[in-house]
Amino acid sequence: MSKRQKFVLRRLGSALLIAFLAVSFSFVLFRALPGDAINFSRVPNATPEQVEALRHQLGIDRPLVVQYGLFFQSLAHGDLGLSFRDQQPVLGTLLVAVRNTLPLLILGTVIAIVVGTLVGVTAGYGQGTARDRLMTGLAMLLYSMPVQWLALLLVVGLSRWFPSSGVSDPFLLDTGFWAVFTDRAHHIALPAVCIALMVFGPFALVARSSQLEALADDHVLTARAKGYGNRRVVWREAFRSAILPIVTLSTLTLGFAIGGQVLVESVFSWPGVGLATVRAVSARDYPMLQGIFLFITLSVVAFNFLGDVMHAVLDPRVAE
Amino acid sequence: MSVLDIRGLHVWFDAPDGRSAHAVRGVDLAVRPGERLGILGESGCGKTTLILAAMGLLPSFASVGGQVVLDGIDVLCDGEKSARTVRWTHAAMVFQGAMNALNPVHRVGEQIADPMVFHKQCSRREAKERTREVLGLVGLPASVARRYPHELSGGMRQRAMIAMAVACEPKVLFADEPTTALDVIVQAQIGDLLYSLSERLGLALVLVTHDIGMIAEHSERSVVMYAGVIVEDGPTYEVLTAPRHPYTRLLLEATPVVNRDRPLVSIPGSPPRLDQPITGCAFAPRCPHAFEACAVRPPLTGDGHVAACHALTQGRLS
Repeated sequence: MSKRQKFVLRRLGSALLIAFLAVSFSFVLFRALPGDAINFSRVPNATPEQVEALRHQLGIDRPLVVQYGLFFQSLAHGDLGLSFRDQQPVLGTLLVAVRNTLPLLILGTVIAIVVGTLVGVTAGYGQGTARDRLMTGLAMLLYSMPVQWLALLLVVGLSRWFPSSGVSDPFLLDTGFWAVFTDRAHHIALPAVCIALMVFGPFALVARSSQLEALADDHVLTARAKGYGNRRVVWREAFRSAILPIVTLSTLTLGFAIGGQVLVESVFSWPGVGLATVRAVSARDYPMLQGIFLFITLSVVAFNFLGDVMHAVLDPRVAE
Repeated sequence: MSVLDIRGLHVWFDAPDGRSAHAVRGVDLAVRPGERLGILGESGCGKTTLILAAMGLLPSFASVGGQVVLDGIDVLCDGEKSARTVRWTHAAMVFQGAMNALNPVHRVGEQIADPMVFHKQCSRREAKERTREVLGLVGLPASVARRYPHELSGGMRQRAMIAMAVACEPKVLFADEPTTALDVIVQAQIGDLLYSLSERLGLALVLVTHDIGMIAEHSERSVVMYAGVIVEDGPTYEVLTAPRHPYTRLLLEATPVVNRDRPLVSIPGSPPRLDQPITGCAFAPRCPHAFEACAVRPPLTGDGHVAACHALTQGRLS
């Protein structure tokens, strides 16, 4: 087994351990919160017998250890419980929310990561030029702008041309592919642009500084001494070592972004994971919240693991 | 016919605040094919700048004047594109501290083979073959090709760097302090390796160092630089045993010698600031033999072994 494979296995092990601990923590957290599923505000005028019966029905009269075991047992069956709000399975609601968040994630975050990185690297190559100063200034401006404010600006400025809420027009009559596609594209435009602008800043800045550092490395001089052209020096020699911090930032960003953009989704009423979180919080919908937290935790852990793997692939020194 | 011909080379480093440092102040230097030349001088005297300029590798904030002809190609005037075709194929370079000079994320073999393919000297397969060959040439096993730089010791890395540098069969090899950061035994091995490669491949070797011992052992001709100019140039044996320029004399006396009981002298003062104009001989303020004539910059005079010193030409040096 190579050093790399060993490294990846070790990281997989620790990722699984962290996931287990995080899931256990969310179990403890939600039981440590004041109040449980059955209290008088939720079931007014209940007799003690009725309360007892309900507690039994929901299994919360059992010892904590048993509950803990049952919790994992139902997790293994994909059962996240029923939402307090609409008595629907949490898993189903969550999956719909995730399905709505994914296009935003791809069109907003992923594209911004790629564009931001390209812009940052180009800016770093021409350090001090007018283009570099323009790009860096723009990235700084976007980075320091509160996202909810940026979202509102977009709504105010562009909602004449693009719808500012929802994923689709509920009154759309034409069900042809192109009509539906255009409608969806119109709806996703503003939130996706908003997320892209928000994510662009940090990536352009990190890519720029990391590229500057890499360009100053001695091996870049070696590459130039070898007669390589600029493009090869900038991308294959310098960027190849500058990419590591960008990978770290990308996996962190993606891990959290898949949990939804609470602010952006709220402003644009985009029914993704972020909006689901807001709704669950305001309805004190614990099962739903627990499901969302579980999902975010696991995706953060998964993306971190992915980041570790990519590091090991990109930099042979990491596995040492 | 010289393989490297530098004429009237000037280099200025421009600072963002508008000032500039005149790092190389008019250097003429011709290197014959197969010649082994040592460039000696203290830190900041322009040695490294000189050889970087010779390959057209100075950073963008440097301005260069003069002429550098490498193997018939004008490196400075024919534009970056033609300068690129000269690099590595006609002149290659070994840097100090090979740890950082090798790309940490590519295998050593790729780093040796890539330039050959890039300069269209041979196919990828032939380049692999040649990689094995040059690794053997520098005394490394072929398996090193599969390793990453961080898996090699300092000496092995410098050997790999040298293998890389000779792979494209250049005619000139610049070595910029190739043995710093290595232990003494390895230093000697690397020195010997460079010497024997230069002999076997008919390679002109330009050795930049402040290690006088290395120059004494591995070069036939020595050039001494001070404050961006050449102050002495001659056969190594003569320069080291019968130095002509007062600076060379003091430099040699300032070098510790094992088994000889003599006081170690230091040269008073410090090298001149390069961001201010220097008139006359740059060494005059520190020179024990300085007199009125030194206010004018001395030319290099002599036959075969030249030095730039008024006191010397006027017979004032004992």
